[in-house]
Amino acid sequence: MRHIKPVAVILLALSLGWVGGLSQTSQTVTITVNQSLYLDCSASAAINYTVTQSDIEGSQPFTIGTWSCNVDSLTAFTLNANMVITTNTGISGASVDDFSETCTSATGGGTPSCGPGGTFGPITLGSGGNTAGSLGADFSGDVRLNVSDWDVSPIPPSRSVSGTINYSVSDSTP
Amino acid sequence: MTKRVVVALLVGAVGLSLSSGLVAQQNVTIEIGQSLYLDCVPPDQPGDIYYVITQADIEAPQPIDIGDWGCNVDAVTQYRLNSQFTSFSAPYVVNADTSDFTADCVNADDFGTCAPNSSLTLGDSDPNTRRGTGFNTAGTDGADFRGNVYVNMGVGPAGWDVQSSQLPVYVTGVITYTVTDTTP
Repeated sequence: MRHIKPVAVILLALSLGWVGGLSQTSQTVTITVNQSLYLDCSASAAINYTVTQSDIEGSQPFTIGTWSCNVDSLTAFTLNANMVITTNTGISGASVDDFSETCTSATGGGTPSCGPGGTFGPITLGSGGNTAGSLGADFSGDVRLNVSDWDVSPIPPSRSVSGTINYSVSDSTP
Repeated sequence: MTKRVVVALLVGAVGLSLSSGLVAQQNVTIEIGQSLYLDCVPPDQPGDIYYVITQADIEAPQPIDIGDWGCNVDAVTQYRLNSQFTSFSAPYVVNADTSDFTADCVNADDFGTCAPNSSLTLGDSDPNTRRGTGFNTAGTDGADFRGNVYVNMGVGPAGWDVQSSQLPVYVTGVITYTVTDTTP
């Protein structure tokens, strides 16, 4: 028993001395992501379109303008759109389902791809993934109109229908 | 009390992340400055009527067919098509007036419908002068209406009386076609 105690003391001293010989520091890293998706559709100019005789005689729907959106993303996403009618002066039958959108181009980072588009209500225009290191995913397409179920009140005055297309991007991470 | 504050802040942060303003807008305005387009006579239809009365016409049952008419309507509204004389001249034919002329409608397509009325009389009104009706034609080449124009030279004292000393004599007039919005 007397022989064991000194040995234990020596081992403890060696152990403490070994640990005390290391030079340790620490660095704490915290990354905060408050927003993983950024949508910029400022290139989608307002559309002011006057229907002509050739539009009426042409195939329905016909193109009245274009849309374009850029998405910067740190996640998988889908780009969606919907429309609301804001004013209607004398056009019976006009509704959001007369308007539609197509996606004709999806380029840039994040392997973007066009969605099916279609007639409003909600439609999916495209999807993509993380766009880090690129200028983002660029989506574009056409805005189209079908007037085949419209019944316009007597003119003059000229009649019009106005609406707003709302674009949104949402996280599609499963 | 401190714990409650922390929880409230977390809920607020989650709410913001779910509705983080990831939307954009595009305004769209569609204007209709003209809802009806009328084209008479369309390319596949005959034009002005120039008809020479023959002996066979005089012997034939009245009225006699003197020509065709045709109209194409492009519309984004419901409508009616009318026609009637708007000017007339028969200086050497006694008893001749626009009531001697009539028109029918024999065919209409692309949601157009012929009307049964026949009056071309100057000063007459709808529905007597109505040739047809129709609806929105979007996506089609428009509604094509066509029919015939007739003249009845009458019989007896009330019939035409041509001043032979002025031969050849002419009866001329202008038939005007109009399309009208019938949206209630």
